Amino acid sequence: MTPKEVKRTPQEQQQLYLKRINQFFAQVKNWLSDDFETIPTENYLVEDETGKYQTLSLSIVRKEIPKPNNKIVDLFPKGTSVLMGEGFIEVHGVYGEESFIYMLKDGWVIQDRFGQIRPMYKEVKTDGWYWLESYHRNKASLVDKEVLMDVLKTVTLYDEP
Amino acid sequence: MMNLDNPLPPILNAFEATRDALRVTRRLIPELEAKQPDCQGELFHQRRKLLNRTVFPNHPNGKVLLEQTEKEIQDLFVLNLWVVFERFVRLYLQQIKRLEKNQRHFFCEALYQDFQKKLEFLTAQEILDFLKLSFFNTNEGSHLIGSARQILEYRNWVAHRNPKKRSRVRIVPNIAYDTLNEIIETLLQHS
Repeated sequence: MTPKEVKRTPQEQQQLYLKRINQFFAQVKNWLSDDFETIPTENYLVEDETGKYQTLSLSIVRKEIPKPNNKIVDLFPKGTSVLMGEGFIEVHGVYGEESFIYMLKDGWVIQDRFGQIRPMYKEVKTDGWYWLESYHRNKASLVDKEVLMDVLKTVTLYDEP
Repeated sequence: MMNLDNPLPPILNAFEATRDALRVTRRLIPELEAKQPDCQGELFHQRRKLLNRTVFPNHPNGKVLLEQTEKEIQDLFVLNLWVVFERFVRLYLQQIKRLEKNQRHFFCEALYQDFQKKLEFLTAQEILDFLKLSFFNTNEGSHLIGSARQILEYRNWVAHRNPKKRSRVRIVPNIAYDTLNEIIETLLQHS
């Protein structure tokens, strides 16, 4: 939920979320090298403030490794309702979970402790999926190829060759 | 028949799993610091030695237990964050400096006295409403209070686990921290 003045019906919110998920999954597929493969799973059930609906989840697997050890991570959409954002995706790896949040440029403008009006997260310069890294206060990183790899390494034993 | 489960075991499981994880980490750090391994081979050797000496509880579902623990700990973190935040705000409001005598208006003085008396009976929600009208009365300020309200809803869900009032808003612990921290820092600027 964001304080932007755009009023959308629950159905419109869901449609927008599904569109953003699909676009993001397509990007993820493009970012990955030939060593990987992405496998979408249909009918993934999501429940949030707009209701219950279905979307798809995405698994990232290694091509040359046999099942079931080929799985790197699963990306599970968890709906539109998230603090400071308009969408949420959980990244599940063998050794942990991280999350991506869809944040809007100028979406969360606050008046800070010094009276300055500024975005809550200054790195949010464009609408998109962001990763909030632990150990870095007030830092949001726009998910790109490098950030995706950092997240994969955080939640799995995968290391780039 | 009552449809109630004992809510305590997951908390104990989370506590024990966290404690064990911390113990493993505590063992790892001095070992590496003392030896100052300067090559990968040495580091690998140290880590293997450490793992050989570490007894992992033979829990039938260890992996699931640790996953659940991480979730439990996240919820407890947000809960604890809120408790500490609320305590701070109440103390802060109790200690607001009174206006100098010549600035004091009898009506404000009466309101002030009344507010101080009622403060301890105000709900968390009413306190947020007060902050929104006072220290955070700009558009941008009210965004912060709006976020705090969502954290409060989540806190209530964690504390009461009322399935009918399930918080559907997802809260990333770091964002909850950043939000409440900004409010506290803003209040401290005013003091």
